[in-house]
Order: sequence, then structure tokens, then C-alpha cells
Amino acid sequence: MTLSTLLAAIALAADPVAFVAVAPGYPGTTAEAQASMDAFAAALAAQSGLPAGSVTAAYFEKDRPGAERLQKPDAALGMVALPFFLKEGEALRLEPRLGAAQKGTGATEVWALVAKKGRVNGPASLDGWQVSSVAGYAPAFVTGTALAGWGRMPSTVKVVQSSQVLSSLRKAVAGENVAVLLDGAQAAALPTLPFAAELEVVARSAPLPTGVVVTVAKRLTPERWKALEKGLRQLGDRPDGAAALEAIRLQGFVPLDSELLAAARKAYAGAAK
Amino acid sequence: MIRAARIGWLAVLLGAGCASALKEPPPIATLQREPTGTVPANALLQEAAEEYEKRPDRAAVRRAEGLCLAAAQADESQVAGLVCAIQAKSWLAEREQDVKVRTDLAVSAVQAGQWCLRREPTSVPCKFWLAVALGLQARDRPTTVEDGLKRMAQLLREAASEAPGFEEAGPERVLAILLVRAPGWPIGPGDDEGGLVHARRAVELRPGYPPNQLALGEVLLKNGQKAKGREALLRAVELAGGPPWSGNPDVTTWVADAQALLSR
Repeated sequence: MTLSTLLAAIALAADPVAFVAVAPGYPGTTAEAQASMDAFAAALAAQSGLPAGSVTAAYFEKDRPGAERLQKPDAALGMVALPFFLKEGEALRLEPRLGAAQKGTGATEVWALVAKKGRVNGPASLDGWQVSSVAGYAPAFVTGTALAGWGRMPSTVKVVQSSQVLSSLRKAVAGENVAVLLDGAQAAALPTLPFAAELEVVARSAPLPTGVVVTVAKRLTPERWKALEKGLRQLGDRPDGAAALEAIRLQGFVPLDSELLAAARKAYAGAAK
Repeated sequence: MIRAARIGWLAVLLGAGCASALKEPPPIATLQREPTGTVPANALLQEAAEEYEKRPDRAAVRRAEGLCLAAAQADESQVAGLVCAIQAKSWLAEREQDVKVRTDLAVSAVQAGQWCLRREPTSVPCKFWLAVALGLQARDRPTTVEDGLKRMAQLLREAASEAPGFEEAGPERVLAILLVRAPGWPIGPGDDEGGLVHARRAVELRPGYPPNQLALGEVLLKNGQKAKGREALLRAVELAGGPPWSGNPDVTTWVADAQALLSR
């Protein structure tokens, strides 16, 4: 064994890397998702050529606990929803590395603002309204990034976080002053709702990255990231990796569209001021 | 013979894969545990019912499961053996800690449910118990969650429409729990407000059955109605302690579930 191979082997056999997935507002809890995350971690370690047990993984369905977990010393790698990345990326020192391609929508998605038919014909119509979304924890994503091309929202718009999308849509249909910002999968499924005919899409976002794979606070050595990047990119090549991806509704990991991400960041920064 | 009892099984996961929840089931003979000779189906069912009444004795429920399957094989024209086999498997799976054993029980319960519906495609008991089995299977086979829970909701809706009072309003009760525990739209059938409608209907149909109050309590809590939720849970505990339920083999589980929800 040469010195360089020896050093690489030592680097790869270092402390376990925690992969932290944060998708605020989406289904499941940390405990409920643990079996799927364990399978994901095991497949990732194997595909990366790392020893068994060298990768752990956990899922968080709320932004605060997810952010807290990402601050722990072993949290070196993660996969986060775009609104979370835009809101917390700088504070948590998240470096975007890859895109996460979601099953059904892919690596990018178009968000859609939905309201009761005939009630909204521009941003001004939302004066005093509530805009509900799974991304409501990042209001600047809702008013800025997702709806940047639609126009400036009135300052009286109240953005609220809600994973009860059906409930919000029912309120809109009932005539309450509620509009709902849907993610790509929700927007695609809108026609399947029994009351879809009473709703309309009043604005759409530009294509935005679905999920972002990040390294955290430079906690990974370059050698380890190189191994893990390869493992992530090729995870679907092995049966256990494909099954692990399937269980968390992912097609796989792909190069990140840096232009789209830069535009999303710019719009977010403008709205967050 | 058996009342739908606990429904603490539902998988609610980060995501849900899209593998079909139903595969071609193996022959019933391969699901059976021990040969029972030429004993008539009705006698086997009677013996199974006696064994099942010995809950929480797991060995007795295991024997009941085998006897039910033997009855299903002894009389291929009826579904009673398959229905009671699913019930026994479900009871065992809910309480099993070993994931592999639990998964095997759930998968074989689904297979028995498939045979049940093949024998009698309009049978409400077959629809209801296949639905329960699909929920159990989803817990340990995440890739079946998406397809399984949607099928489950459909089967329960059909059962609720065709025989609302079956298993003490079981279809409405289980549907209510499914809707508040499953992933929400568009991934799964989850719908907190919809769950409340079904939980209230179950209580309207059978107000004195403790698990209906238990389900209503859980659903109210999930909908943010804490005071009303606690009230329903206390009512469940009260009902469980009185006739005719205090002697039910599952009463301790009902009370424990209610206490767990009250302590949240």
C-alpha cells in the first residue's frame, strides 16, 4: 500500500458521517422514517466503498429540529428542500453539491399558486389574504422565489406554513380569502381533486430545484466527499440502493443546475430584505 | 367471532414507494400450518373461535390462525375461515416485535384476503379484513405504502357503504384512523378533516363501542380539538370499564391506547 492509498483509507474510515434529510411540511416523522433512512445509509456506504456503519441517516419533517441536527459535529452531508436551503443555507454553512431528483417531478419542479376560480387576477387581489404552503416556514420563498415573476405581493399578505393542503384548498373553495402555493407534485395532482373545477392556477414559478444535496460546514474531507458523491450518483445501480431510493421517493441524484439555484437565491435575497 | 379491535399499525412514512401491494398469492394450502385431517370446516371454526377468545395468549391465537386456515381449505365454498385467519394474523402482527415475523404475518394476511375476495368478490368481511391486512403490510414494506393505502381506503369506503355497522362500525372507524395517520394528498389518502367525518360516523353508528370513542379522540386531537378529544378518550376508558366490554380480551389494550393519547 502506498502512502497516498493509506492516507485515503484512513480518511475514508473516519468517524461516521450523518446524512441529514430535512423536508419541512412533508409526511412522516423522524421515528417513522428511520427504517427507510437506515436502508438508505447502508446502501450509500456500500456504494461509496465505505465500511458498513460509516454512514448514518435521519429525516426531519420540521425546520427547527432539522436545523438543530445539521449543527451537530457529525452532520456532514444532507439533503434539504429548496425553501429550507434558501432560508438556512448561509447560517448553517450548507454548500450545494447535487440535485435530488424526486420521483414523479424530477430534479426541478414548478410551484403553482392556486385560488378559487375568478377571485384572483393579480398580486393586488391578495390584499389581506392568507397564502398557505408547505414552504410557509420560508415566507420569502413564497412571495419572492416562487412568485417572483408574478409581481410584488401586497404587504398585507400573510404567509402561513401548513402541510394540511387539502384543508387549505377546501377553505379556498368555500370562499375564504385563502390562496395555496402548491409544490410540483401537488400541482400535478390538482386535477384529481373532486373540487378541482372550482380552483384555478393563478401563477406559476420558474422551474426550481426540487431538493439540494449539501455538504455541511466543510466537515467532510475532500476524499470522503469524492467517495460519497460517487456513491450518491450511482446509488440506483445496485438493487439495495434502488430500493432505498424508491422508499424515499427519489429517482436519484444528479448534477445541480447552478443557474436555476443562483436565480432562486437572488429572488429569495431580494424578498427577504 | 372476532371484533375489530386495535388499529395501531398504520405506516406513516417519509415517502411511499409504488410497488403493487397485491401480488399473486400462493395456494391456501401453503398458508396452512398443520394438517387437520378430515375435521369439518364448521368444527374447525368453532375450535378457532374458542382459541381466539383466549387472548392475550399468543400461542392460542396462533392455533386459531392455523385452525382458520384449515377450515378455509376444508370448505372452499366459504370465506369464514379466511376471514378469521386474517383477523388472527392481524392480532398477532400488531403485537409482534420481530420485524421479519411481523412482515410474514402481514403478507400472509394480505394473501388470505386476496383469496377471500376471489371466493366472494362482494364480501364485506373480506374487503374489511383485506384493508386491515394492507395497512399492516405497509408498516414493514414501505414500497407498498402508496398503492396499499389507496387500495385500503377504497376497500373501507366500499365496506362502509355496503355494511356500515359491520364490526361495530369497523369500516368507518378504521377509515378515520387511516385518514389521520396516512401521508396526505397527493402522496397518500391522508386527510385530517375527512378522518373526523368518518370517526363521527362510527360513533353515531355505535356510540357505546370503546374503540370508536378512542378513534374519535385521536382524530379530534389530530384536528387540534384537544378538549373534545380528551373527552372522547375518557369516554372510551369509561365504556371499557363497564358492561359489556370489561370482560373483552382486548380491553387492556384499549385502555392503554387511550391513556397513551391522553398523556400526549
